[in-house]
Order: sequence, then structure tokens, then C-alpha cells
Amino acid sequence: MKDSLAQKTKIIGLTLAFLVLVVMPPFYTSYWITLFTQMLIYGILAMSLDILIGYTGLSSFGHAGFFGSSAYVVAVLATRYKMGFLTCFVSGIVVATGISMIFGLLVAHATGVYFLIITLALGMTLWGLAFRWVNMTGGDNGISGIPRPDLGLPISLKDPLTFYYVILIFFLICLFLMAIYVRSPFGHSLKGVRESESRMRVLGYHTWLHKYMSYVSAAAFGSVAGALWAYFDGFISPYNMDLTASIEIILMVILGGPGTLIGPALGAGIIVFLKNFISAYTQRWLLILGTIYILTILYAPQGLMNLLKDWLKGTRRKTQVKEAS
Amino acid sequence: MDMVEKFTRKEIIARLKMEIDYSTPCLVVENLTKDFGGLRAVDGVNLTIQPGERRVLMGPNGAGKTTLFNLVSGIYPSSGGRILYFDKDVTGLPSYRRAALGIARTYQITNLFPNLTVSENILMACQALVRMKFVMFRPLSSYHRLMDRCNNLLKEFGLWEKRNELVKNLSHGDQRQIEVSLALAEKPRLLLLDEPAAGLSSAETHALTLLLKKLDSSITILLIEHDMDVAFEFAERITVLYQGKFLAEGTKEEVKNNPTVQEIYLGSE
Repeated sequence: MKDSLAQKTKIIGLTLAFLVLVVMPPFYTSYWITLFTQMLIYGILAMSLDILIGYTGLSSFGHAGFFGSSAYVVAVLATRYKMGFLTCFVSGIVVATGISMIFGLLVAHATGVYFLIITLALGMTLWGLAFRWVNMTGGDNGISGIPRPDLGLPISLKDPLTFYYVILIFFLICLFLMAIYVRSPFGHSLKGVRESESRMRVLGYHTWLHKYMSYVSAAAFGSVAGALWAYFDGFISPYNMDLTASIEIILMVILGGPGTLIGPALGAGIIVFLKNFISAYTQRWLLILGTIYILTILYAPQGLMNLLKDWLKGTRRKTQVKEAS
Repeated sequence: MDMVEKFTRKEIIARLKMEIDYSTPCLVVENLTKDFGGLRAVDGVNLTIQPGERRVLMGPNGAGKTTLFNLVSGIYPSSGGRILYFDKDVTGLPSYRRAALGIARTYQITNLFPNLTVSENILMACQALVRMKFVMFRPLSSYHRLMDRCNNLLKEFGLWEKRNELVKNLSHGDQRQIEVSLALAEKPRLLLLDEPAAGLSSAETHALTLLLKKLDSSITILLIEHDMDVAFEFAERITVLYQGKFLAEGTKEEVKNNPTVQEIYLGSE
């Protein structure tokens, strides 16, 4: 009874999401379909970073590095070696996750600002690699002409709408897996690390290992987004994995609400929309990004999703008080 | 003579299931020393505690009580000396390994998970020492035995009504109680309580003393306490530290009547 408002909001939210993401797309113009595809891919990326920021309490400034590495692997294998979808997709995830396993050894002992700086530096090395390893990555020019994959099904992914639905399926699978992940015993232990690492150690948790595994799993989910992006855009360049790209993902998480999983996906939707919408009018996208960042910190430091939760709770309290008096 | 065995992983697991061996002391601290730069916070302390014993650790500020706790629970590496737990050397073990062996502690300054609910806090302690804490793709709520144990603990500790409250919204008294509950939820063999009654009202202190008195007599407890009433009511033997050194040990009366202890606590004339 007392949760009826929260229940209602949940149902309304789910219905809206179902309508907008599943039912309506055939009626969108191809511009909007492409935009929604982008939102979903970035949604996966933002949710993966939320594992680190929202649940483990570690802000990574190098998350775009894994997104980019995975996309580059797919790009190189698909264009130069003409590999099939499965090989490219799996290789992208394996390579990016492998890199995170090595980086994890360096970052997992750090917390707070130190974690931020180390991940920033490591992210930039990946960017540097993409920028400088010209004969492999094409340097500044990036790699273009990545073909849409052939899944061996009687559908063509060259059609934006079909491709959109395939991405939607990937998004839902990732959402499902991550939702279980954060509710699992391991996910619970990550929240403990976020709240008090010293207490966790005394309780019997090897906190280094938990942080390491959290870093690697965030990178693994992020690399799924990267592989999908390479197929979606058909083009990958160092600008997809530079510092600005990493900060954009952080902003998606913070705007949407860290520690809510679906919030960062929502944040990704908003940022991707604004980015495309605004860049049609002005070149000063970064200025707008900064402004959004400041507004979020000032008016919704805990993010939109948590704001909604607090609002629902507040309304519930008020009605309870009214009923009581 | 220094042939003290080290714990292996298997032994740690076996140890948790074993009966307590009452013939060996639960904790032996030998010549333990800790330096912070030029400051010697703990200076050659010796301590022997039998299984099931309740011991109070006393001493004025800066006596090295909390540092001693940090050494025994493995927060700091020691600068010298040894720590034996049921006759085995744990001096080099990291704190999470010691927790797995059954050494639990509480903090003088409340150290909980403030943005989680009370039951989530207790669950954190419940799952700490089982392998399933690494399971990633199965919801925690589907582990019914664990949830049942957590619910029973919540009722036992009188926290059932508040189980869905965030810990940061609770009163100081409730937080202090959860501080102790977290340590107890791990079924420890050796419990280190660092001023559990700090900042509590007299009624709350009384309730806490009752809770501690009710505890399973097989648990060995080492308690830091300034409140003489709690200390004398709780323990048979008292150890007094002063400026990092061992000063006195004995029953309540012995310690009360010790002239050096009186001098430190009441000042010399």
C-alpha cells in the first residue's frame, strides 16, 4: 500500500520505455532510429561504468579506453582480415578485457584521487597507442568501412531498423546480466567496499581482489559496447577513446544517478540526444557539456534517478503524515 | 624452538569447523612492538589470553590499546614480536585471513556501511566468510539459508524493526550496537571490542553490558574500556598498559590496589 506510488511510477516508466524502445521505432525516421541505436550502445557503456562509480565507489577516467580497444580490434579484424561477426566480437571483448586485467594490477590498490589519476594515465596510453600505431590503427584517420556483420540469419543488418532491434537485444541482455550482477553476493560486497573498505578487510574480504574483479567486469561490459559501436558507426578513430570521451561517460553516470544502473542508461540517452541535437546548431559542444556538468553537481548531485527516488519517498512520507494526523 | 607452524589455506577452512582446543591459549602476544617513525606506540607487550576468557585492556590515552588491537587484527604490520593464535603464528597474515580464522573486531569510531540498510550491513558480515561471496550471476536474495541466518540475527540483536532503515539515519546508540553485531555475525573465536560503549547513555551502556554477558562462553573477548563500571562488571582479569608498555595485570582488586595504577589514573600527590 505504502509503495503504491513507487509501483505506479515503475509501471509508467516501464510502459513508456516499452513504447518508445520497442513499439514505436518502426514509425521513427531513420535519423531517430540511428540516434536511439547510439543511445542504447552508450547506455551499455554508461551502465558498465556504473559498476565502478556507483557500486564500487571508484571513478575511472579511462573507461573509454576499453570501449575503443574493443572497437579497434573489431575494426582491424573486420576490415583487414575479413573475419566473421563472432570472431571479431569475441576477440574485441577478450582483448579489451585482457588489457583491463593487466591494468587492474596497477589500479586496484588505489582509491579516490589516485585511482582517478592512474586510470586517466592508462586510458591515455591506449589513446596514444591508437593515435601513434599508424600502420595498425590508421592513426588520426582511424579505420573506416567496417561492414555491418552477417549474422547468418535471414535479416539484413544494413537496414537501420533491424540493426536497431539487434542492438536493443544486446542492450537488454547486458542490462539483465548487470542487474543480476549488482544484486549478487559479489555486487553486495562491492557496495561494502564503496562504503568502508577498512571495515570490509576486517570482516574478512580481500578488498583488493574485489576491486580488481569489479574493474575487469566493468571493462568487459564496456567492451561489448565498443564492439557494437564499431559495427554501428562503421568507423573508429582515436577521438572515440580520448579523455573527453571518458569524461562524457562519467557525466552520463553522474547525470543519470550512480548506483542505479538504469539511471546511467537514461543519462546516456540524454547526453547522446543533446550532443546530436546541439551539434546541429553549434560547434561548442564541450561548453554545453561543461554547463550540464555544473548544473548536475549544483541541482542533482545524486543524479536524476536518485532524485526521483527521493521525491517518491518524500511524497510517501507526506501522505503518511497526512493519514496519521 | 621457533618452529611455529604457519596456517595454510586448507587449515584455515578446517579451523573454522573444529572444536575449540581449550588446552592452548587463544591468543599469545610475545614482545610485540610497533613504531610509527620515532614513536614507539606499543613497546614489547606480552599478553596471554585463555580460550573463553574475558579480559579488559585498560590504560590512559596513548597507552597503545587501539594500536595493539590494530596489530592483532592485522591492520598494521608489527615492527617486532609475534602474535600466536591457538598456538599458530599469525603475525604475517593479512587482516582478511585473520578474520577467516575467527578474529573479529569492532572500532572505537563507528565504522559501518552508512548508505546501506541495517539488514544489508548484517548480510555483509554473514557472507564475508563463505565462498559464495564471489558469485556474480545469482541474486543474493536467492540464498535462503543466508537470508534466514541474517533475519535471525536481526531479531536476536533487537534490530528487526529497524532492518530497512539506512544505517546513517540511526541514532548513535543503534549504530554502536550494529558495530558489535557485525563482529558477532561472523561467529568469531576471538572478539576484540574497542570501547563499545563510547558515547552511550547509561541505559544503553547497561543494555550493551547485558548483551555482552549473554554471549557464548566459548568466545574469547578482549575489551578496551574506560568506563570502570563496565570493565569491572564484565571481566575477571584486567591488563593495564601505560605509554605502550605493559604495566600491570591481575584481578579487579589487584589492579585497583596497585599503587602505580592509582598514580596514573588519579595522579600522584
